[in-house]
Amino acid sequence: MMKSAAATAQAVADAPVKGRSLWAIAWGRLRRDKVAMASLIFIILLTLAAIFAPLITKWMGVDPTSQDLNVLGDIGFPKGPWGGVSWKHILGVEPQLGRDIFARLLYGARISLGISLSATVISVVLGVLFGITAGFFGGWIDAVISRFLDVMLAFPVLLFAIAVLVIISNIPHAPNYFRIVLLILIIGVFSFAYPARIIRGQTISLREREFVEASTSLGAGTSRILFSELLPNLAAPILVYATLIIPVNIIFEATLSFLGVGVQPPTPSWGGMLADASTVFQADPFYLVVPAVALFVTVLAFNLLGDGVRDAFDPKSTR
Amino acid sequence: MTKTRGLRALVSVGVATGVIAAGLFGAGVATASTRPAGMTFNGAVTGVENPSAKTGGTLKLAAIGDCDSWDPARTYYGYCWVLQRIFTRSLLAYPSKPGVAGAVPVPDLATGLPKYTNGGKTVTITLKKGQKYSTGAVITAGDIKYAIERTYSDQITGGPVSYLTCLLDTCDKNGLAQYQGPYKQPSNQPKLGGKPSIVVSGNTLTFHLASPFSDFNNLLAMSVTAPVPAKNDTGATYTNHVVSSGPFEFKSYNATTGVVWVRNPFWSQAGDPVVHPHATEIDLNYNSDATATDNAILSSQVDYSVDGGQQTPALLTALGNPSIKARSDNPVTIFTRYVAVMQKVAPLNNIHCRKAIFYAINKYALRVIRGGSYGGQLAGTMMNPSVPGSNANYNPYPDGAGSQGNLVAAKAELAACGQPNGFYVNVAYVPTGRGLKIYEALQSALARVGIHTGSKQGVAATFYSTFIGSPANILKQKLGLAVVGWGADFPSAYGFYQSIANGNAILPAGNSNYVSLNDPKINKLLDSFEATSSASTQAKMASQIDHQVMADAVYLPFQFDKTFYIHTSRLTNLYLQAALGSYYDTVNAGVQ
Amino acid sequence: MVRYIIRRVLQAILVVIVVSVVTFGIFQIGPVVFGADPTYLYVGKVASPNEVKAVRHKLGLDKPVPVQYWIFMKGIVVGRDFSDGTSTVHCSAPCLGYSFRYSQPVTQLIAGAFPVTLSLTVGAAILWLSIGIPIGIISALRRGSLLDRSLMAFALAGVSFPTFVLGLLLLLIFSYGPLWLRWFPNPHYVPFTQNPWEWFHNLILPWLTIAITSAALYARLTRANILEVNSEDYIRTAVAKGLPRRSVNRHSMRSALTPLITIFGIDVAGLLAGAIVTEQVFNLPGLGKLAVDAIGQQDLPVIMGVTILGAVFIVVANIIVDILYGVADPRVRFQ
Repeated sequence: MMKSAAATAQAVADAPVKGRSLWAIAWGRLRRDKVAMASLIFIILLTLAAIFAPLITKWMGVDPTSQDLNVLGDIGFPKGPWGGVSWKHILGVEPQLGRDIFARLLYGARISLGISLSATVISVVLGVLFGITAGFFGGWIDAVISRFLDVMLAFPVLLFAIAVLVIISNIPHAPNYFRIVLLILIIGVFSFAYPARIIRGQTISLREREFVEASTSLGAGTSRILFSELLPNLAAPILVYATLIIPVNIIFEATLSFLGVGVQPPTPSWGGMLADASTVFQADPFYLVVPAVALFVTVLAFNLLGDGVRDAFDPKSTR
Repeated sequence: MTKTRGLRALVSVGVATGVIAAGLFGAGVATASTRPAGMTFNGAVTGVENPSAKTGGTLKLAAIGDCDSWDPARTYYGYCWVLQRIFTRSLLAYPSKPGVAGAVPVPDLATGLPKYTNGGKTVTITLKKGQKYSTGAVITAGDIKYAIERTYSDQITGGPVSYLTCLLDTCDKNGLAQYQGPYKQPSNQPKLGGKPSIVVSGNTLTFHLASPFSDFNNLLAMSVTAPVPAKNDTGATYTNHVVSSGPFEFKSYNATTGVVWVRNPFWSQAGDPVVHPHATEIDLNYNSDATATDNAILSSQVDYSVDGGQQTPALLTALGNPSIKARSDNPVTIFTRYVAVMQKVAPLNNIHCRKAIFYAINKYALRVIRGGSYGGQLAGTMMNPSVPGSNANYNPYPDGAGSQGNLVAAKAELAACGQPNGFYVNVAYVPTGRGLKIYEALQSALARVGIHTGSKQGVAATFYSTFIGSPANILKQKLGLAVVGWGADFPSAYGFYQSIANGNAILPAGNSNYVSLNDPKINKLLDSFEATSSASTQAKMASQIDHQVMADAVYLPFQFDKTFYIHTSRLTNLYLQAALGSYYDTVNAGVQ
Repeated sequence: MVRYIIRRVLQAILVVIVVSVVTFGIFQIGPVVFGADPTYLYVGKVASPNEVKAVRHKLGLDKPVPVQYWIFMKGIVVGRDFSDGTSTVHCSAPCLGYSFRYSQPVTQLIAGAFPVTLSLTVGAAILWLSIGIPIGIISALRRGSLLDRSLMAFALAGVSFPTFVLGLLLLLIFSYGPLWLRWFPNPHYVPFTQNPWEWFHNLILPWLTIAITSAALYARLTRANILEVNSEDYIRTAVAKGLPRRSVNRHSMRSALTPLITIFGIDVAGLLAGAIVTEQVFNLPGLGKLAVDAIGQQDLPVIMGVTILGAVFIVVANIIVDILYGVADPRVRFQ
């Protein structure tokens, strides 16, 4: 991957007439990858649906918090088959509370996508920062950072995340968005050690290459080397890593919500819906299946897109 | 490349669809079982199911977790009081009868009911001779005196000891007794006016009370007064090896996995008029997965739950299957479920803002979460129907059509308190079980009139001790509402209201008067309640207290709890002990 | 080699210490910073100020935080006594604290929960290795074929399921589903010593839950690694030179599978530290469930004990894995 990137960069320098940048080439390949494009379109549509959730639900006459108790029987289970599916409630209603599932699914998408995308940004930024610094400067800086990453990787991550969130719950006077910010930080911080390591490895191998030596001998300063030489060559693996880590973060957020430490009610989240469904699914299996499918399809789409992006940058490796 | 991933995507989705469809189309829990002979729905509520003299066998029971303590003086959970009957006896006890017949104490270790003289301030009662512990030692009257004395120690906390504390010893104006318990003051004892308040003479105990207490028989029926042999007492760790005075003794105990009881060879039926044990062993296993327990009961691998009923999916199964419904019971319990509306937290200090919540709440929605009409009986007033003198039909805040709330009245109250667009209030609750859903339903109901809620989750271990049990914490965290349940410590209006409504019962920690209610009218009624022994006067006073509590608009009841139990069909002599919370009286149960 | 091992062990100890300090800090300081007194987690509902003071002294909560930490760490090595003047509880080394919620030393709680997690981890690991790696190898060898594409499709589906969702769906079908599929009607943990068949039978669904996702991941990784190695110069040279395919495959397999050692070590360590989600879904009383319950009840000693144990597992696994890697790949040793 690095060979082709550097080689392409060289080719661009050699042929000013009509060369295509690495990015253009990659994009071209991606566009021809029908499955990846389908996933991309799905993701874009889902994101739009999440952003416009209030409008969509209002247009359909439902919302995620009001209870429609008439659709529930006396002991709280939806009266019709399929979990209360009807023209009004196209995906049925929640048992015992009677809230519309479709509306909650859309609003839950905001949480899943919003939190995991933001966390990915943090994870990538931190990973790049620590990775490049450790890889480029070497010596004791590298040693300290590497030990620090070791410690990060030695933490039982899920346990720690749960513990911190439970303790944070007890802060008085905390505004509602505080918890969401905290979730983003925790997910981001607990997943940056792995990319940091990878980027450190890439940086080390890049450092030895001729074009860096060439820049140094030409008198380029450290920051110029970092920004103009290394970063562009790391951009591709960074992007690939980012697209592959998004589904992992989606799963992480869903798991935290499932364990009850994610966003708090009445904010809907897919993990929260699954946690709720796990207590009643023998009597209302549809309530389990709907968010499960939503989660699965979303993660699958990101995985497919990630595979596609990786192939677009380096087609020969694993096809 | 494209074809590869396309196929992959298709197959992935196909696999998932297949998996999911299988689950969807097939789900449904239908168990076939033969109709149990001699059992009917609610049979254990009004009578004893499958009466039989056959003995032997092992009961297999389940609970979510451990009791707060097995020390008879330190337990406050209702179901643990019923379990105490397995291995402790007191001077008096609630008879092994269903319904109201089981709510009046009768002699157990005593030869007869106590005699009251001196205007009710002197109580004399005699212990039966020859009753023995599981160690073989004889139970003496001194042991009962010792059991009460140890409750004065600061190691023995957690049980309903406060009823006795200032009745038998001199207390200062803060309610702290002078006597410090036998560990610190081995040569001292509880005293009133310098004279000992518990006098032992042979097998006779004489209690000298600070003031008459007409419910004293109920106090003598509490496990707090169960005898404890001083030489086996280890203070705070006594819970790990309680010496038994009842028909069973501990064979093994593990706080995470459960308890096994076997027969106490030194107990004899001849000396025990209250309980008639049939099983030879009782296995209680803890399982925090309530669904697993429900399924185990449905498949008859566990006999019943000792600490509460089954959840709604199991309820649904039972309702759809006549043979399972026949082995189910749905009693109304002694517990009232209500919202504590903290009058010290703004803007709830204005009674109209509080009343707005009283009218806006959706009792029907809250009940649906707990199982609808099988989960509770809608309530308009606090005092539970099990309390003598109660009137379950009293409803000073009419709750609208279908009990879903009276939004017009709510909005009027909002205007009256100067918050026509609603206000913000925090709700304290424990998110386990249905707690979270109840919160969400409450939130949804109040939002209809613009009252917005914040979520303040507590931990079960400290919820009642320092979360809402500390008036200071309520102010600090601005906890405006708390969803709680309460059952009387013993069947009387005093047992129901003293800890939650009397101004003198407010404690800095472990407080049950969450709202810090301090209404002189209520205080006066409660303080003079025990001085009168006339049942009709007490009934009238009970009604007055209830009406005044409701008028103060601090406790908002929404249902009287009902529990839905399923049990196996092999059980005999099964009934629900109504006075102690409508749990199965395990000590009497047997198997076919 | 020996120097390498010693260096890694010293680093590992440092890591465990740091983890323990951070955990201790968060749990001890956390409640205090936010105004709650941790003592109240350990006393009954109605506690007099005297009892609270006695318990606080007994648990050592009245000492400064660094001192508490030191006492805790010392206890791990030499054991510790909890005393309030009237009664003393001795907790012998390694003393990871005493849980007053369960009235047991933490070490005992962990010892009771560990066999469950071990059963879960070992069984799942055997399953996913024996499924995942062969699938990856077959796919790589038959690259581009229909078999390859189908297997990779299943693998993709496998990694797109969060573990708990897969667990719930398996329960839905095989425990509460159509009668003819209800092969595991009442999933609960049965100790091996009590009934080996029931132990095995009830662990199948949890094993599958973990194994399917992991097998899918390992299949993809194996396949990718093999293909990458096969495109390396030295393999292509060997093929061009006419070396028999079988011995070439042996070389490329070894290179491809070695990186999996690292991942496998970390995965197993992570599971041993507590397969939290799976234990939650199937209600298995293992370390993960113990930890989650303890967190919910803010039972600090149990949380500390399990977290430190988890960190120890992970660093030990890292050391073992690094050593194995060093044995397998000489280039690594001389870093």
